[in-house]
Amino acid sequence: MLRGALCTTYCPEILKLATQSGIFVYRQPSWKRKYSPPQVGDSLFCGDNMAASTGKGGVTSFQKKSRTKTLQIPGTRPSSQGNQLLVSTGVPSLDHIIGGGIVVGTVLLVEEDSFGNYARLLMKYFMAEGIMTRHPLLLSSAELHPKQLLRDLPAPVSDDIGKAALHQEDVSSEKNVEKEATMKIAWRYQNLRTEQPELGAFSKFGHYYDLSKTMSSEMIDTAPSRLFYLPDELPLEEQGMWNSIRNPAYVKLLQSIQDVVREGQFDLTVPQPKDVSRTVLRIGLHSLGSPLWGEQDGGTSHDTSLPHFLHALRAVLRTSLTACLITIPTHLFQDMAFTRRLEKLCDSVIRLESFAGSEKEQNPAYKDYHGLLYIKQLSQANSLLSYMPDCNDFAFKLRRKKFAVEKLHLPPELQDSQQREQDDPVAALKTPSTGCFSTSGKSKLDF
Amino acid sequence: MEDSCVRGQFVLISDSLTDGSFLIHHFLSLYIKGGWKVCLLALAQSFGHYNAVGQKLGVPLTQAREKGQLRFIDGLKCSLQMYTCAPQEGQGENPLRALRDKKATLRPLYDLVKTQICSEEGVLEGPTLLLVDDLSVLVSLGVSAKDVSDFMHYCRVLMCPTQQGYCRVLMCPTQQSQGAIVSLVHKDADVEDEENSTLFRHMAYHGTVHLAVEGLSSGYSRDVHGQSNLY
Repeated sequence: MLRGALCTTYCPEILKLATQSGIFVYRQPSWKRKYSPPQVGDSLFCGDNMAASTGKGGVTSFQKKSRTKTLQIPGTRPSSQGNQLLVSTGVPSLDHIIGGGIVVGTVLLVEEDSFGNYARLLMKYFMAEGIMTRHPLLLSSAELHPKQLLRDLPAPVSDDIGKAALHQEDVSSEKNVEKEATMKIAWRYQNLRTEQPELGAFSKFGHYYDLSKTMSSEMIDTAPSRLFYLPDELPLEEQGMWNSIRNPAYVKLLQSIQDVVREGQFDLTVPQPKDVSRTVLRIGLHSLGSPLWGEQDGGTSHDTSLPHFLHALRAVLRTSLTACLITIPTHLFQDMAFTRRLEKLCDSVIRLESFAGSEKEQNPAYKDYHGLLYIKQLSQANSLLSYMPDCNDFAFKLRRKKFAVEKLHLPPELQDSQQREQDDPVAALKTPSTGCFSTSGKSKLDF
Repeated sequence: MEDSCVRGQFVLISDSLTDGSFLIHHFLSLYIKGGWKVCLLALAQSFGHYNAVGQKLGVPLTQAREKGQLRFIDGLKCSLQMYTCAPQEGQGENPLRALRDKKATLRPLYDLVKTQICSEEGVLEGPTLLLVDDLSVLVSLGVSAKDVSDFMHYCRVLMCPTQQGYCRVLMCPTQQSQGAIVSLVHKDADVEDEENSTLFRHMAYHGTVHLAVEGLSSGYSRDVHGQSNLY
C-alpha cells in the first residue's frame, strides 16, 4: 500500500499485515455495516434470515440482516421490497412478473378473457397451490359449483422436480469438494453452484402442476376449505332486482368471508397466543360481477354494489392474514369507467386476452402463444411504490405441465414472411420508428 | 416544488394513468416534521399502510397519533360497518351514512373532521393540515360529485377562510388562515368518467395549487416513473 493511499479490504490476512506494519487501520463500526461482506467458507445463498427461498435465481453475495421479525409461515416468503409476506399464485412465472407473488392482505384482480377458460385455470392453480402449502381455502362461485372446481385441480409435479433438484445439488457439491483443492486463485467462488437454476423452479414457494392428471381426492378432502355457492346461500327470490342500495349477494359473501376470518383466527387485530401456528387464508372469488351475481346492465348505471363490496373487502383483508384472487369478466361491462373504478379499488390487476377465436390466432408472431397478458396495476400496499417490471409485453402459453408467462419478443424475421409489406404482420407490429427498415425489404437489388 | 409548509393553501393532486399517492406520503411526512397538526382522512388505505411508509421516510406515525399530533379517520372501517350493518339497526353515528342513505349528504363526515381538529369554540388551534386520500373513492362508492364538492367547500372555509378574497367581506382582514388542505383526485385520461371529471373541475376551481402526476408521454420506462406538472 502506498503512503497516503486509501484502500478497503476485507481480507483478514491483509488486515493483520497492515496492523503489524503500523499502517492506520479503520474498521467500520458494526452498527454502520448493514451488509456483511462474504467470509471464506460462507455459503453464498440467502441463509437463515429468509424463509424458504432457496431458488431465487440471482445469487447475491450479501446477506441482509433483517431487523424486524417477519412471521414465518410455510408457503410464504418475505418480499424483496419490504417486510411484507408474499404468497404464490401457483404459477411461478406469473409470480415473477408481479413482483414475487400476491402480497398478504391484498387482492389480485384477474380480468377474464372472453371465454373465461384461462381465468378459471388461474383460479385452479391458486387453489392447488393452497392445498400444497396447507393454506385454508375459501372458494366462491355463482355458476359452477365450487366442489366441481375443487375436484378438478391439477396434480403437482413438484415432487419429481424437488427430488431432481436435491440430486443435482448433491452431485454439484461433490464436484465442488473435489475442486476445492484445485481452485487457488478464484477461491471465493468455490462454493457457488456450477449451473444456475431456472427462475423459481426448485423453490418450495411455487409449484408446477400437471394438467393431464387431477389431484388426488384425499389431498383435496383433507384440506380445510369453505365453499360459497351462490344459489345455495341465497334463495333465488332474493337475487335479481333489489330495492335497497346494495346487492344482497355481495353482502352475504362479505359476511361469510368475515365469519371465516374470525373463526379461523386470521384476524391480526386479535392477539393470539404464541404457540398457535398462524397460516394464511386463500380466498378465491370466481367470476364475480357476472350477470349471475346481479350485474344486469353491464355497469352503465354505475351501480355501486360491487365497488362498495371491494372497498369493504379491502377493510377486512388489510387487518388479516389473507390473500385474495378475484376474477371478473370485465369484457361484459360496456362502460370502461366502471372497470377503471373497480381496478382502483383492487391492489394488483392483470388482464388476460386469449387468441382463441380472434384474428390474432393466425398472426405468425403469436404462433407459440395462447394469449396475451397485460399488467394494469401492481400492489402499492405498505410501500411507497409498486414493483416496476422490466416491460409490459407478456404472452402466456399453456403446456401440459406448465403455464408459462413470457416476455413477448418480436422475432427479427419470420420464415414465411409475406411478399407485400401490407400483409406482413411483423412490420405491422413494429413501431413507426423502425419503418425505414421495412421499406427496403424485398427488392432484388438489396444484399 | 417548495419544501416549506405554507398556510392557506388548497393543494389538489391529480393523477392520470398512474398513482399519485406517493405525494400524499410526502406531504404527510413534511407537515408532521414541520410540527403541524395533521388530520388524515384515509378512505383508500389502512393506517398500517401509512405507518409502514412513514417508518421508511423517518416519520413515526404511531407516536404522532398517540401524542395527538396526527388525527386519523379510518374510512375503510366506517365503510365496512356501513356495508354490513342491517338497515333496521340504523346507521347510528357512522360518518359515511351517505353511502347507504341516498338522501344524506357528507355533513356527518364534515362534523367529524371539525371535532377532530378544532377546539371547543370551533376555531382552529394552531397550524393544521387536512389531508384527504382520496376523493375519487367517494365518487366510486356512490356519493355524487356535488355532495363531495360541497363537503370540500365546507372544509376549505374551515381551514383556509381568507383564500382568494372569498370571505373577505365577512371576516376581519387581520385574520390569518391557519390551515391547509391537500387532496387527491383520480383523473384518467383514457377513460371518460363524468362524475370524476366534474369533481376534478370543481376541485381545480377551488384549489390554489394543482399538481398533476402522469406517466411519461413517450411510454413506460422502468427507471423514470413519470412526470408531474405544477399549475
